[in-house]
Amino acid sequence: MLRHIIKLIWNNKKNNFLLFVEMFVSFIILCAVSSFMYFNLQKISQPLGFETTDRLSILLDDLYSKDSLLVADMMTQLDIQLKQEPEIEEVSYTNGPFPFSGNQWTTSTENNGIPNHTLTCETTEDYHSTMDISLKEGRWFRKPLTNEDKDEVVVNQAFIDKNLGGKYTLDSFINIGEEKKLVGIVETYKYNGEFVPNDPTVISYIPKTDRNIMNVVLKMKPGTSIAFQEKLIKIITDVTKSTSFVINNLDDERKKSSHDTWVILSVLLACSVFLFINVAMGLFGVLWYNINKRRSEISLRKAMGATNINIITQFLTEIGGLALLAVIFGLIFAIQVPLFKIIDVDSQIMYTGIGFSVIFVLGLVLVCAFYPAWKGAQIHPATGLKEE
Amino acid sequence: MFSNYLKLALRVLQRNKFFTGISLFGISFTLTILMLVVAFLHSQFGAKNPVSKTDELVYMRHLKMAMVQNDTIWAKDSTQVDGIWKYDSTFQNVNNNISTSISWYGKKFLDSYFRQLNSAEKFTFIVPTSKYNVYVNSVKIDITTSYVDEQYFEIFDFKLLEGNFISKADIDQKAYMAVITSELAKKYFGSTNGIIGKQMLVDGKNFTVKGIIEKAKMVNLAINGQMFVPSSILPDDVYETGYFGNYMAVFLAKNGNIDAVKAEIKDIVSRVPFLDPSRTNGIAYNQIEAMPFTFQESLARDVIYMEDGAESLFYLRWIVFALIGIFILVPTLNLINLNMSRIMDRSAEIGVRKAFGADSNGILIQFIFENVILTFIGGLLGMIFTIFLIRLSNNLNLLGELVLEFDILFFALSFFITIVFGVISGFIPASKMAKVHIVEALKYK
Repeated sequence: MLRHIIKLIWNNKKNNFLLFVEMFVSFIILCAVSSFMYFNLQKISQPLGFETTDRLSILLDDLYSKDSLLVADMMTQLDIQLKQEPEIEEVSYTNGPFPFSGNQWTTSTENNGIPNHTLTCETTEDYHSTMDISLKEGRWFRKPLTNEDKDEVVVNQAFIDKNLGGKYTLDSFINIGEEKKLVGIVETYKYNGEFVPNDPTVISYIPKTDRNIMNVVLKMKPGTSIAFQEKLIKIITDVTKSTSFVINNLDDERKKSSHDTWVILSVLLACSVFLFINVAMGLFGVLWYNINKRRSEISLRKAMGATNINIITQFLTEIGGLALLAVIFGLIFAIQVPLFKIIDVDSQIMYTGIGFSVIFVLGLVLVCAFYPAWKGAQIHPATGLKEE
Repeated sequence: MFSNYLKLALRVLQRNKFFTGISLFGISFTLTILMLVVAFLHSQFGAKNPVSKTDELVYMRHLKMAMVQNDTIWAKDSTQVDGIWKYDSTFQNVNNNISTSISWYGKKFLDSYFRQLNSAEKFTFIVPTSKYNVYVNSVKIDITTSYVDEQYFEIFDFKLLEGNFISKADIDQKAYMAVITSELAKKYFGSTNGIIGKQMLVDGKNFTVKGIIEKAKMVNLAINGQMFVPSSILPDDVYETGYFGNYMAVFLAKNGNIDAVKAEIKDIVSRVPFLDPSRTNGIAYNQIEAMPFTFQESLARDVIYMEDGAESLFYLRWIVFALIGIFILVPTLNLINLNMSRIMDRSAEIGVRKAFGADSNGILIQFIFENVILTFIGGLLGMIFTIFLIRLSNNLNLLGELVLEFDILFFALSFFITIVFGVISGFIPASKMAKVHIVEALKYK
């Protein structure tokens, strides 16, 4: 049977060649598109790890150029003033890598020759309640009481899995450039947005009087009007004696941070859907034509006793065999990418994408072939043979 | 002859509506994608206001300073030579990058070295797109402000709707004058009429509106501001550490010779003295590199990092072409497949025409012509889709600052693409049809 099918495909190689190339190229495109889609879907399936509604962020970007004592005094003043406002429920502070800033601070350490990269952020001790960060285990870090105290840190699950190899004990010391005390674990903290990979992250303490503070996060009472921001601007201008700060709504920033990726994904999805409708319709047309051309062959086989199902199976295996050849040929190329890590993406994602593509292309071909094959099988032997 | 072919082609298309439909769907979809790509590239990189001289501009966005130490690594190894053990030592010279900083340019640095370039006709130093919050009647407006000098509006030819550009006198007097986009005028004042001379409170300072311009429709840091004010109002020393600051520079090359500008910039930078570590947070930088690129090159360099921006642009172009090529390949193959399987439909016609003396070339041209007619109809449909999608993208601000445009050049390019697509996808089936032997053709059916 199989040899027979291969022979049939081979006999018609001239016509089949272009079909073969079309299926092959479609398969390769689908592999790339589906892996990319899956890669991004997996990223957004992990939550941000904090709340953005009713949160404002104030970007203060010139503290570093000021005198440190002046900054300490100013920030204390600002904190007192902000906490007096009834509309503001909570206030906390972070350094450069704050939510949706696009900033990244990375610390690289070495663990028995294997480099570990860790994203680091520094926040004040009440940041988790301002941002509603829920801890999976342990507690949030506290303000160190003396200078000799080791800094306490909270890490995300990815840090535990990738950098500590899954082994950890709460309240033990971990080495990230320097020794820190691990006190809590959060599931995720993707401060740069939904589409940013969930990389190992460490959050540690920074006093609110530090010159490295770049961002103030405010938790507002729900329903605070935008007019309050005018008052806010006055407060900040009065305290900092400067107007170079920007107030952002974290909800807006969140949308902005993933806007571009959504545009790319939807354009890609729309293109692929159209491409495959196109391919499906083309295949359908070609197969319809080819099967119609073989009316006499069908009639003859039916006259010799073949059932409708025999005829349909024959056509489906024929075209399915061709598709299988194209997919296998495509697999030879596609599999190289995750096998030799040509692109730095989790190979699990690539395998899933490739697997999906195999099933999709074969399925599509069979679905497109079914109606023409079924229609062909309906031919009555007498009419088919009479035409010849 | 031509009208005969046209009549015949239309008749054939009508005969089998199902196949015509499938083909048209594929063609119009493919051409829509191609036209959108053309519109995108044309809108982002094409020469038009305010960057009419796109090929004559050299941008200096970033300055790179590095501290490099030479290191020699010795390695000893024992090898067996002719059965006797010997020591073999090798060494490598390695440049260790200890610290690299990339940032914007400081004003003093630009002022002292880049004011007299022989190869540049004009130059401008800009502090681009600082963001400010402004509240007008309890509505928040984010204003992006660029600090510019008097030559800025000579290099970037913004369309002036009303009033005047920033002048040399404004710069010298440190005047709080502002040129704003019509979009911002509508947001801030509610209309664009009669607002010249009115005051705007931004960043705690009162600016007088001096001119209204049309906003730039492409993504380009140097021109994406909504409000342009004299850079001389900025305090001199703020944010400057060593050679770093928050300025960028744009040069207009003499006679369009951008390579001369790049070479001169590199030459100047190679002679700049290294800074004392006390002025650079204690880092003894011993390498300075200015990175002068054209706008396209610096964009390309963001995507594919290469030492030379021209190289990045080269690779990026080929990658984009290859991706589009692969994407277009499938619909093309599809169309060829469809046409191939329908060859025998026309066999009687081919047979008769050949029997009456038509040569293969005549038949080849006829069938290619038919396919071109088909793609042309598909192209028209595709153009309608494209215009619809462009409108949609512009209305929903899908591409941010970038506004997609369609003009005569766009239509000409699209027409050209359509014809090329028609000829390519028609050639293989047509040549096969033309080769059919008379006897064979007449025998079938």
